[in-house]
Amino acid sequence: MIVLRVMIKIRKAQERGHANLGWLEGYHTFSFGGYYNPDFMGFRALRVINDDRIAPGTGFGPHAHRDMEIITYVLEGGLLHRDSMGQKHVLRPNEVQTMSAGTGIVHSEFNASETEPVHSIQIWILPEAEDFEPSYQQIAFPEEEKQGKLRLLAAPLKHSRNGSTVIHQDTCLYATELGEQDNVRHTLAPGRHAWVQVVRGSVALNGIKLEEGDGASVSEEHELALAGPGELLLFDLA
Amino acid sequence: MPITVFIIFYSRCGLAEKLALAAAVGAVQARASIRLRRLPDVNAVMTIQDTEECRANFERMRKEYVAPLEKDLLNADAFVFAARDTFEATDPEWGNLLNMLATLCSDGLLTNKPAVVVAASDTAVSELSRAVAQTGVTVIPPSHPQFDSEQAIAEGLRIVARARDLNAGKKAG
Repeated sequence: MIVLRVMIKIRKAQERGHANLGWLEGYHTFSFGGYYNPDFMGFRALRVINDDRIAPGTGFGPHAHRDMEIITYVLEGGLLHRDSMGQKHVLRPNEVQTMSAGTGIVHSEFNASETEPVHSIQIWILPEAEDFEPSYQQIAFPEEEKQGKLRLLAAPLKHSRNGSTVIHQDTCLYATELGEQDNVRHTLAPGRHAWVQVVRGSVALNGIKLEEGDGASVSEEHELALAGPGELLLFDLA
Repeated sequence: MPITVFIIFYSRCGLAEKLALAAAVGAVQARASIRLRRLPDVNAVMTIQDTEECRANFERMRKEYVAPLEKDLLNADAFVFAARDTFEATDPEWGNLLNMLATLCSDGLLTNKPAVVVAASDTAVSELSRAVAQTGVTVIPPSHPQFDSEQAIAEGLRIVARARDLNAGKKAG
C-alpha cells in the first residue's frame, strides 16, 4: 500500500508582511524589503507575491532588477510601466505583463491615474539561469477566458500558447475567476508543486476555504479542485 | 562584495536622465545595486521653445524622483554624475550637491569612493568632472569625451569594477 502525504499549507492573509507608506499599502506573502520572515522566503521558484495598492499619481520611481522574471497582474485601475529598454505601457485588468530582468533593467511603475488607486499583484519568479537578455511582454485577453476556467498567463516556452507570456523558468501561471457555481480542476504532474493565491473573494481548494489574500502551497497532490466565488492565481511549479 | 552605485543627475527634458539610466543599467549588469536621484529644480521654467515631450518628461521626472540626501552619498561605494550637453559650475541645481560633497570630503567621509561623469557634450563632461573633482571626490578620467547611451552603460560597468578594486585593496590593506 502506498500512502500519499498530501501537503497543503495555508498562508493566511493577515499573517503576511505589511507595509503602509501612505502612497502604498502592500502585503507581502514572502519576505520582501523591510519584511523578513525566514519561514517564508519563497516557494520553489516563486520568490515574491506582493499585493499592492498604490495611491493616485504615485508609484515606484526608477529602480533596478537583475536575474528575475517579474510578472504583474492588475486587478483594478492602471499601472504605467516605463523601462530602460524604452518600453512604456499601461497595464490594466485582464492583461499580463512579464519583464525578464536578465542582465539588468531599470524601470518605474506608477499609477496611471491621478484620481483612482491601482490594485495590482506583482510576482517574482527565479529564472532557471542568469544573464538572459532583458525582455518585456504584455498581453491582453478577453475576460471570459478566465471566467470559470484556468487562463494561462505565463509559462516556459515549451508550455506557452497563444496569448501567454514566456518566462525563463519551469512555472506555469494561471488566473481564474470563479462564480458561485464554478468548479475547475487542475492536474499536477508527479513531482510538481502548486501555489494558490486568492486575489479576490474566497475560494475553496480541495474543500479548504481560502479568503482574499490567503495563499496555499500544495505538494504531493495529484489534483487541485477549486471552487468560487472568487479570483485566484495558480502557480504550477517544478 | 555588493557594491552600491549612486547615480545623480539633473535633467529637464530627459537627455541627462537617459544617460543616467544607461549608466545605471551598466552598473546593474556588473551586479551592483543602484540608487538613482534627480537634483531638484531651482527656478525651472518651461519656455515656449520646450516641446510637449520635454514638458511631459519634466513633469514626469518631478514626480518619479526624489532629491539626493547626505545618507545616500555616505551609503554609496561609487558615484555617477550625469548631465546633458551643457553644464556650468554655477548651475543652481548642482550647488547644494557640490557643497554637500565638499563638506563630506573634507570630513574624510568619501575616501575611496570613486566617481565618473557622463554627459552629452565634451564641454559638459569636462566642466562637470572639474566641478566634482574640486569637491575632493576622486573622478576617474572619462573613457569618452562625450557619451551616448551605449557608452554610458560601459561607464557604469567601469565604475563598478573600479569600486570593487578599491574595496579589495582596502580589505587586503
